[in-house]
Amino acid sequence: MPRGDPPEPPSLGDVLDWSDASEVRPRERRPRPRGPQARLEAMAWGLFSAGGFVAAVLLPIHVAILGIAFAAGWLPERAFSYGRILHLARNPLTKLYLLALISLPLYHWAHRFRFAIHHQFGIHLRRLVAAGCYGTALAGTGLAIWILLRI
Amino acid sequence: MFAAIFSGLMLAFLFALSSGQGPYQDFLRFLDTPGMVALSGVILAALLYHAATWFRLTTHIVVIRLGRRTVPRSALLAALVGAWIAVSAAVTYFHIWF
Repeated sequence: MPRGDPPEPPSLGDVLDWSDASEVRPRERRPRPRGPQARLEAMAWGLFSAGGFVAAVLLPIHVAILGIAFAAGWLPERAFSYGRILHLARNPLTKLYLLALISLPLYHWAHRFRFAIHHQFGIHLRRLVAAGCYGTALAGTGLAIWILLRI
Repeated sequence: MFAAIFSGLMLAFLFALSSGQGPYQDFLRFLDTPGMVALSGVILAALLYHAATWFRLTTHIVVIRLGRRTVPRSALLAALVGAWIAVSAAVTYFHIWF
């Protein structure tokens, strides 16, 4: 096997040329279902996606800090002092962040669990299951708002 | 499922915070128990698995076009991982040192 200089790092142009292999043709628009039911379904998928993104990007570091690093004693003494955390949590921007951090994963769970009940557990009480799943997520959101307003 | 368990844990944490210094310190002691540390480890492992599958899925769904060409999946994955590291660093800074 011939050995020479290592290849140069590819330029942006090279990378884009390679991506020609996965060129996407514009799709024809399909007729979409309309009406309140379709709007609710679209909203549920939107909240599912947002929750999945929050669970992937934001939650791991919070679990690592609150659940692991704190118990292991890796954090500075004042990191979880009552006064400091209270001051941080009273900031309106922090409250909005916490509301998204808590509630969006609940909608992600609700949507996923709803389909798991239908497809994996074979229970097809559609309205009851949807009300139970999304109702739990709504209750969690309401609880989060109430607690954040108490702080 | 594990993300929802952590949401419940965060709700309990904030409820303890809003109830005063005593309940807050009690909750911190509860977090320090071996069972809760083990649960946090399981939740963290599940969330990291979720992150890996979510990013992989995103590179298959999201198509960014530049003219007639598309940004390759590997570049999109690198951007997502870079954003994940940057966001985690920012959260760590605000949570611990800010």
